[in-house]
Amino acid sequence: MSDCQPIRELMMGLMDGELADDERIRVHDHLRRCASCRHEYEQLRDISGLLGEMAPLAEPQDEVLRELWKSPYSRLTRSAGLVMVIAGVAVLGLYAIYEFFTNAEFNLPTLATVSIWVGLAMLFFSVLRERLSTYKSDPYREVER
Amino acid sequence: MDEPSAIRLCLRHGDPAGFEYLADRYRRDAYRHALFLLGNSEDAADICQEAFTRAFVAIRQLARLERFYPWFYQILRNCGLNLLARRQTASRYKRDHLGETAPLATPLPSFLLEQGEEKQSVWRALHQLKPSFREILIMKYLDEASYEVIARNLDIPRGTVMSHLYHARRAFRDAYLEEAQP
Repeated sequence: MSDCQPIRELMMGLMDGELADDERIRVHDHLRRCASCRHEYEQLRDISGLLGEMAPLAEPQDEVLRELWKSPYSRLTRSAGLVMVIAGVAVLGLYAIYEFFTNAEFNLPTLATVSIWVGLAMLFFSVLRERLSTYKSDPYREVER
Repeated sequence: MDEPSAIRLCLRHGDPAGFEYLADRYRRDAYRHALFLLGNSEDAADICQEAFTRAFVAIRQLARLERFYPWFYQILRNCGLNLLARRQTASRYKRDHLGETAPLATPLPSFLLEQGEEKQSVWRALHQLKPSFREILIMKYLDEASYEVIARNLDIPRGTVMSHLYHARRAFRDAYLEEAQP
């Protein structure tokens, strides 16, 4: 039983026809002697083999495939548009803050700008708080973004 | 046109026709990988579009590489795992803050609704596995990829492919037997 573990990984190569001759002979020899590994081999082969029957079901239609390529251009346009809107709003906001501190006038545009900045700060701290509270138990934190 | 000349066309002349060729050649694989990784066709299409957009923008990185798909697959995979992470965070938030205790079950995709119980159990079992197990089984059984191709796409040694496949198949067997229980 002690030599079963390395053989069990090699069994995958036998199942998939990926072993060299000497490895194949070694695995066959072991399977002849070890009923437990033989059972494991047959069960894994039969049950995993069910996955192969899923392949033809998931063939995408041509119109789905066409959408996958058309969209990069529209997505890039959307992203560029979003960046320009955010940049414009940020510049206007900074200009309003500058005006507020240099002229100190309380008018409607100033109040609207203060409201936008306070709202953005609230959203930012709310998200930050949520991320920090879930960070320790986040199983995906090592995923590259 | 072949793959090396399409890559050259992208890099040397910035010609979108090169990328169009690559996207056209690999979009079927990309869609199937995304579908089986994420579990539904809307997310799969969305993630493929996002990955193709990112690849299109970052195409210069291909100068250091010989093949398109292993590089592109890493982008697709990261986009997919990010989506799964967002879903996980959303379900945890609902559980912790809104008191919802029901598990976030992924509905069966439409192509499985007309299929028998066995195929539905296979699908459910597959989507109980962790993503790294799921993706190696997808490559083995959907793509019928050799160990060499799997090793290249996942950027792992050939011996590790065998080890991952062993643990993934065991996990799938256990999940399937549990699913198939009456």
